[in-house]
Amino acid sequence: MFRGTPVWGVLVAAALLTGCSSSQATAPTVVATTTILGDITQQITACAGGTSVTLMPNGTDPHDFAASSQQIALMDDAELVVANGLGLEAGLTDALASASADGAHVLEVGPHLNPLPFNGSTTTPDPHVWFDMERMAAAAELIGSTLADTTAHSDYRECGQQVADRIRAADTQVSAVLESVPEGKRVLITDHDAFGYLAARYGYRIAGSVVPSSSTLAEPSSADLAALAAEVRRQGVPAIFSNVGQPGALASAVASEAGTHVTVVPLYVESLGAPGTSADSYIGMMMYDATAIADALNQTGDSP
Amino acid sequence: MEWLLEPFAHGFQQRALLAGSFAALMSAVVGTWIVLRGMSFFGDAFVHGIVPGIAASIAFNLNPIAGAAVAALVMVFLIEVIHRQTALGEDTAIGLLFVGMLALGVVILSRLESYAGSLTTILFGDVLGVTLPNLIAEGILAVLVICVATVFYRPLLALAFNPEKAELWGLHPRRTHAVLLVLIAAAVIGSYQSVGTLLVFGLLVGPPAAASLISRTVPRMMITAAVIAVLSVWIGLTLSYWLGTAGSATMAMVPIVIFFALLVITRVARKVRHV
Amino acid sequence: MSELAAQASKLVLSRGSVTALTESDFTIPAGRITAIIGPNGGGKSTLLHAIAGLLPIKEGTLSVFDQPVVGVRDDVSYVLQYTTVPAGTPITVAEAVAMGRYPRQGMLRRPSVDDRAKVAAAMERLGVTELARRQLTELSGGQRQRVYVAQGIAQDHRLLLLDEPLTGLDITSMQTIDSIIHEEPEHGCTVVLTTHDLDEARAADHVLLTAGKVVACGPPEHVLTPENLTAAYGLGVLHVNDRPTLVDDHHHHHEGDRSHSHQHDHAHGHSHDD
Repeated sequence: MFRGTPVWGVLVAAALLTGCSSSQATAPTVVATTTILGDITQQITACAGGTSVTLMPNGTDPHDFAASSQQIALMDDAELVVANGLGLEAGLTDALASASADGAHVLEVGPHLNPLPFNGSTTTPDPHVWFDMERMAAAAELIGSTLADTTAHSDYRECGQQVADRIRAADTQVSAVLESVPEGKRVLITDHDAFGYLAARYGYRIAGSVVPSSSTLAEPSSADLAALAAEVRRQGVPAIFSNVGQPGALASAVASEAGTHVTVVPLYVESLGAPGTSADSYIGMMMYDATAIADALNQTGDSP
Repeated sequence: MEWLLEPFAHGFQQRALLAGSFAALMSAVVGTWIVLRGMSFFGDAFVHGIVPGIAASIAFNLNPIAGAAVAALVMVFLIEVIHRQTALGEDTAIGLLFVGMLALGVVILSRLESYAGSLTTILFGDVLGVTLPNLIAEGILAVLVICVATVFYRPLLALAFNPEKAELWGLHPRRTHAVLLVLIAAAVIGSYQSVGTLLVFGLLVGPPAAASLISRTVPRMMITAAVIAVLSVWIGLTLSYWLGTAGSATMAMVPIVIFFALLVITRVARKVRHV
Repeated sequence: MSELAAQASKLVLSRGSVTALTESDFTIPAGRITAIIGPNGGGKSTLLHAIAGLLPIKEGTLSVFDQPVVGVRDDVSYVLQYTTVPAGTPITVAEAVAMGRYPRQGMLRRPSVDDRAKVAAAMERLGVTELARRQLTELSGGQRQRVYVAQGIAQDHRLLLLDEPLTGLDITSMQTIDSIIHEEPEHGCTVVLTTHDLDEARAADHVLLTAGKVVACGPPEHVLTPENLTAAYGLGVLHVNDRPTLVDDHHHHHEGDRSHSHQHDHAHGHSHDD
């Protein structure tokens, strides 16, 4: 039927061989799923002379992200895969299971960090652990020691410790910023229910979210939005927090419904900022968010 | 040869190739009948119609296969009801249910309290996440579907040829049609977890349609369809590896491209012969 | 002479809610050629469908070879008026004719030497052997009708039913099929065909004049009288030189070519109603 197949094969082969070089790269030491974890593993491996690769590009929704064939192959070949767990990387569950079946060593940090349940739920764990810097410091230590065990290089343990110490130091500053908001004004209304750990750790209260679910995929009904707007008005909340890089149409709708003094402030929620911004590292992201929250909630209610 | 082998060096990639191939073989055999009998629209509706069943099973923590099967039954039943009770053509009935069932599925998914399965996963599957038990189950189902289709070859051919003659030859066209519906359900439900409902539909219709351009008998059409289908899976996975594109969608595009390529080739060849 | 291929008593046939044939009595002798003639819409095709076992009998009795009709029989072969096959179905002439052996083979039995011989013989008799490897849907109307008749006679049968077998065909096809029809009694087979052509009816051994009811049944000279024909056809009868001719209404055939194919619903029968 296709007598020209061998010819086609040669042409395509020639075209591809000139382009591809990834087959020659050596396997990384660590593959991290989220950008937040990626920043931490990057620091640990750089310190001890290894390499780290992050799967998700900046700004991706971790609930949705699905890995490509090449990326899963990387996971297979790496010494360690570091994931958040607790259901955050929903699009990766099968891929992670498949990679484990093929012999990859997967560390899900979430379950080891004493996870809290969602506001209002008794059973479903909240995966957004990174909003508590103390827990993330513990994560860094855990990653360091796991790496030390799997690679038999004890340097990783010390490097993990160093990164943890740096996070704790930054934590002091972040706490100070967040505590600058008087207790009565520490009200968070966010895009979706991601700030449970921040609220618990730094003494804030979650008054509601635009998307009444932990998943960014669920959609609020118009009744949900109206109730939220009423709540905002009732409590005199000056700001609603949306996600950087995502269309905040719903948040804006609630804000304008609630009153002219309500602003919509974007925060980095599930991903680091682009390289070059102040939020392109975990510590940078937490500082940015803390400052933005404090500034927004400290403003007086009638400024436009 | 590196570029051919590297995309399949790992276990999960080999499982993806096998899962895709099982789906391809089942779909080629069943899809040939769908194309010959002009049932493609029905097949598409079916593929979307099972979505609420899957969504409901996820929502209530039940077996999604059972949910899909129930949704399939409901859909076929409702299509018959509309067709018999109204003067509306079958295509209208199918179209109504197609949209209704799909929308119902999305409504159910949108009210889930936590992430438990998105529409994208149902439509596009998770071919890179196929586990060994999945694969074995799919393989067994593929063998079953192909066996039943082979046993029913004559009644199916007679039905595609002319239903009245099928009746006259004692081949029970109504029963045969029901068997075909079950085979379609089996192929779709058995494959969607690994390759997604959209790709299954693409494999059901694309390769047989392409094969029909160059086949003179039904067995040859089926075999050609099977070859094109497996080729599509293989090419799709290879391309998606090198280009970093979504596996399922890339695989679904290949039979369409092959169809148009064959269309052009056969029409040009015909013109050249007549010069 | 003594044996009857079929007989009916007070037979009523309906299609849905429409009555196609009211209380009819008739006999069809075995081993002979019987023609069913009558105006369009008079029940000719419906009657054939009933004899073939495709229609449930609600009122009256109908038996074939002394057994009441309860469904299709594998010793009855029926060539439809229009065998609509979806355009583009990949099937060769040889495969189509071979399908005539299905009643004997069932779902699984492999074709035997006997099967192959009968298929080859049928194709030879209808003059379609050279067309064996051609695509069925690419043939002309006359060629296709010959293939369907070959398919019909390839089946082992005692009774051959044909619905308007010669209407709208080219001369060669017409002559070939006509000789097949007349050779059937030599093999001990019974033929029942419908026609709207008076000369064809006159050439048969036995005639059923059907106009909403079997009005007359017997040898052509007794049935095809001017009085009977006028009663059956109303004003559609012309008397020329004392020989009645039919000036029939809108014939339900396609000029010259039976190449009429279109898609149809799966599993629902489809036929042009008479």
